[in-house]
Amino acid sequence: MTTALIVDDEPKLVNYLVVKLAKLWPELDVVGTAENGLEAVTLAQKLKPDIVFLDIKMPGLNGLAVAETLPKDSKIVFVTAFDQYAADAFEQSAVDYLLKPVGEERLTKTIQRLKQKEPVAKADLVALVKTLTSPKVSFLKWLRVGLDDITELVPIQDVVYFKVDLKYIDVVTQNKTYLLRQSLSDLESQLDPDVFWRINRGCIVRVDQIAKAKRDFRGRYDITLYDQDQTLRASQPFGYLFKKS
Amino acid sequence: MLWKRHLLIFLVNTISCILIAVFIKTQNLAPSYTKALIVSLCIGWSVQLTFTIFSRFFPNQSTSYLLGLVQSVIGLLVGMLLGGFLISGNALLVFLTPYANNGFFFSLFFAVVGGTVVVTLMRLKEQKQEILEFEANQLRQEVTLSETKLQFLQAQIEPHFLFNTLSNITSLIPTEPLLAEKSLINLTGLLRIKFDGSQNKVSTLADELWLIRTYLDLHNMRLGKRLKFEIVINKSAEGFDLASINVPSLLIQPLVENAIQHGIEPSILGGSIRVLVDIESNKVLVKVIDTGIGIGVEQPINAIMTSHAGIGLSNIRARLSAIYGENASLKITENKDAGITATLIMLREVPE
Repeated sequence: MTTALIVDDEPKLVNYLVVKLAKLWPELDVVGTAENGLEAVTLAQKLKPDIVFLDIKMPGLNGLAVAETLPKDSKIVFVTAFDQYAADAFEQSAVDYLLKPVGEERLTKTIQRLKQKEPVAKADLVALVKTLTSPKVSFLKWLRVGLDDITELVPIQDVVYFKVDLKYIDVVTQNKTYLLRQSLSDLESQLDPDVFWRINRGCIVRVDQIAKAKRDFRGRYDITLYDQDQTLRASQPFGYLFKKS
Repeated sequence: MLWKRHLLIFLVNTISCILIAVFIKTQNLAPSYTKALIVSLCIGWSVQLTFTIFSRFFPNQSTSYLLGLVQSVIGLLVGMLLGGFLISGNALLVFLTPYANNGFFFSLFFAVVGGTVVVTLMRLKEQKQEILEFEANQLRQEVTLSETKLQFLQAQIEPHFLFNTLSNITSLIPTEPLLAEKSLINLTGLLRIKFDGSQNKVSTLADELWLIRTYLDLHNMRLGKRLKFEIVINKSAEGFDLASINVPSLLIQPLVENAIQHGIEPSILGGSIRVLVDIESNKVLVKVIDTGIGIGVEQPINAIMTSHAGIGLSNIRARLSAIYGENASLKITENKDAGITATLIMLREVPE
């Protein structure tokens, strides 16, 4: 008898799939259900199901990461609410997937394919998962800034520029200036280089805040910002940032 | 355009050469006006030719002073040899005759000054162009940015939420049709407000709290025991009629949305959200406190999982400052035990 494991972090959706599968594929034995990725990995190891219905967006470990841990003869059906890229990728790689809400018609088709088809080769699946999860380098999203014991969180996109001020970094936003205890190089390595430009040894500026850059004879640029009185200066080694390409 | 510029330089160059020739003759550095003019023109034209040729081969180096100097000297030497040959048949004449030394240094001096002037003029022109192009780039970026903003505003309903909610409602139809009906009506109400383009509208605190409750109810249906929530109106605010207190529409709800998306949903165990509302004499205070995963431990974003993290916050801050100026604030802080607190303080009256 064919066995299946159903994984979704929303309990009602697990139940729904159980009910629909019971109706459309009575011979299928749903041996277990899981509500997060970690539980899914444990259950899959214990129950060794033939088929795993896997939600993609889950807390802890997402469906793609779970898929990588499954034995290579498992048949996987990804279930997703909205992952446009993933859906396209699945389409191309012949991996089964269902879109929520799952309709009976589509589920029937998937069942027919599951009954006939060999599982997708593990190598293909791993490659697919790799392309989907290829770590888009994640940049700093929040700054913890604070005076004394109160720490405030400032979203990175509120920052106009950073400027070294003695031991600290001045974090200048539209309304306020905060202090940050960090080295500018450390900070720079965590910022998206398309959004923040280092313009001299002590200053990093948000590109879309730059209103104008004017070059002087020594190849330095005087930078005027929107809504800020202060002008900044890009030193000559960083002048290339403003050169036409 | 280009030939006009070349012609202009040629004319200026030629006139300068004539003046220099006259000057050299009056200083008795040349045997005759004709000869002085021939040598002078040879040098002037050969310098200009050298610059033209160099600019072909080093299109990006046109504003280097060093290269300018090299070009001047090459042009000068070629011009002197040619001029010497033309006036006496001996190319080396200018270097050999007694009056040559002074003439040579004069020529060198004029060539270097001329070269410097030319390079400086080119630099000025290029600078102007760079600034213009930089401004054009900026403009393009701005356009892209506002397009992104528009897309974001239109997509204020997070697609995962929408499709998962629809999916949940579908699953309720056979077993709990009444709950399905209620949820569908709630979702419809929420969508209507969101699609209203209501960014700049004024709403009431009562309406905004209804929106938040509806939104949290829908999430509660999805997440089950992983989400607990409560909306608490402080005792001191009880004397106020919430339906008569104006607040900007859709300003508080995004804070709750953030708490769900970045606090509760990524957490295996889930958590709770408390919305605290307080009204003081002239201020409205709203706190959204979650016990979710907080920041820093968030999973790295996968390419397929688009995240609007924080965009909502900037948007809220921008609106606050546009509406209230200095009289409103939004603070995000980390809770001691778990999760994040967003504290929103604004004037009780929405300024005109």
